[in-house]
Amino acid sequence: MSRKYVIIDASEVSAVDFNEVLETSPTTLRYSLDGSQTFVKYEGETPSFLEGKTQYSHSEILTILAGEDWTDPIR
Amino acid sequence: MSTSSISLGLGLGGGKSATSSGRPAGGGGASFTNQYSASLDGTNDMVIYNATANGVNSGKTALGTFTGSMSFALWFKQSGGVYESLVSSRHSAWSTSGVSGNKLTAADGVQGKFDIDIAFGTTLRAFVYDSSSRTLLNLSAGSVTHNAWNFVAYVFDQSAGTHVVYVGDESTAPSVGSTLSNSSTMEDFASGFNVGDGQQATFEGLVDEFAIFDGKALSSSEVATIWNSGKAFDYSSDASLNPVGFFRMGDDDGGIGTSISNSGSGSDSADAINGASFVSGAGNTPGN
Repeated sequence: MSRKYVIIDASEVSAVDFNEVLETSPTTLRYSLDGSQTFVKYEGETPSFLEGKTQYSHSEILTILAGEDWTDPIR
Repeated sequence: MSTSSISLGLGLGGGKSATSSGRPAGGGGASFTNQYSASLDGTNDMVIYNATANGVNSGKTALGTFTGSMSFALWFKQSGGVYESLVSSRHSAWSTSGVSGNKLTAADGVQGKFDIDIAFGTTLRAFVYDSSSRTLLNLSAGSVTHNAWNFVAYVFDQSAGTHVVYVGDESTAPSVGSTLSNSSTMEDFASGFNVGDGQQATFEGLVDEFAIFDGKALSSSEVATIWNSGKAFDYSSDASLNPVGFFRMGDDDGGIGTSISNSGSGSDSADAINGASFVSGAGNTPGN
């Protein structure tokens, strides 16, 4: 079953039901470098708290996460 | 990647796989097989051993002090990424949100000590923080093959004052990829480790058979023994090796759950988090 990924604002984390996403807990979320956004992933039906938000495929989210808003690698 | 992927928490039927220890058949005891590896999706999946007091799955018993010689070895098969982290140590002072606790240049000022990554799918790099000079030392550690199983052994020999990275694959015995003459110790590993996470983007691909040693610098012949002609190695077949942590990525846990048992001398398990899954099938374990 393919995973779907949704970017949310950091302020929305409190609304996430971690029983309905694959992330383990609030403390295991990966945030954008400025801390303003994070994302969650799920399989199957869209959790109600994510309805209406943009869903990304695996390849799409990888492209986003490779961007400078999310990654600051050692070159 | 062609996978037979099973999300953690679901059962998996047990197909038999080939014995891969290299031990003679019928040699007594349970047969050693390597059926599973851990699949990481490159977004935030990872395997962690958190011996700090903070964050998810915290409070594990330290695998050692790591104030002297140490080593680790693992197999990996990377399927994506330009820069991706493979293994990093954690840091006892880390206390902010997020799982990493290891960043070499952390925004919270915590200075991690070790990170090994893969650049452009082909170049293994290791970064060691030298506390004396307060500089980050970069080992260009050797060439690896994208989307194929690679074997890596990292050895810090305190008496020799060297950090050595060995690299091999399923058909090529490990050889020295890089040597750094430096006496920086690796004590951050006392706080645990992350597989698939570090300073770079998280790892996309498969990882397997992570073993870590405290107080021991593996010799080149021991590295070759562990490589085992391109297959998973049964550490119970050689008591002289005795890793403090040996995490088989599903094989000791029936391919289910999120706990990854420690088959080394340590007692606590590692943890697969954020949806990391165990996979089986052709190509999904080294040597199979």
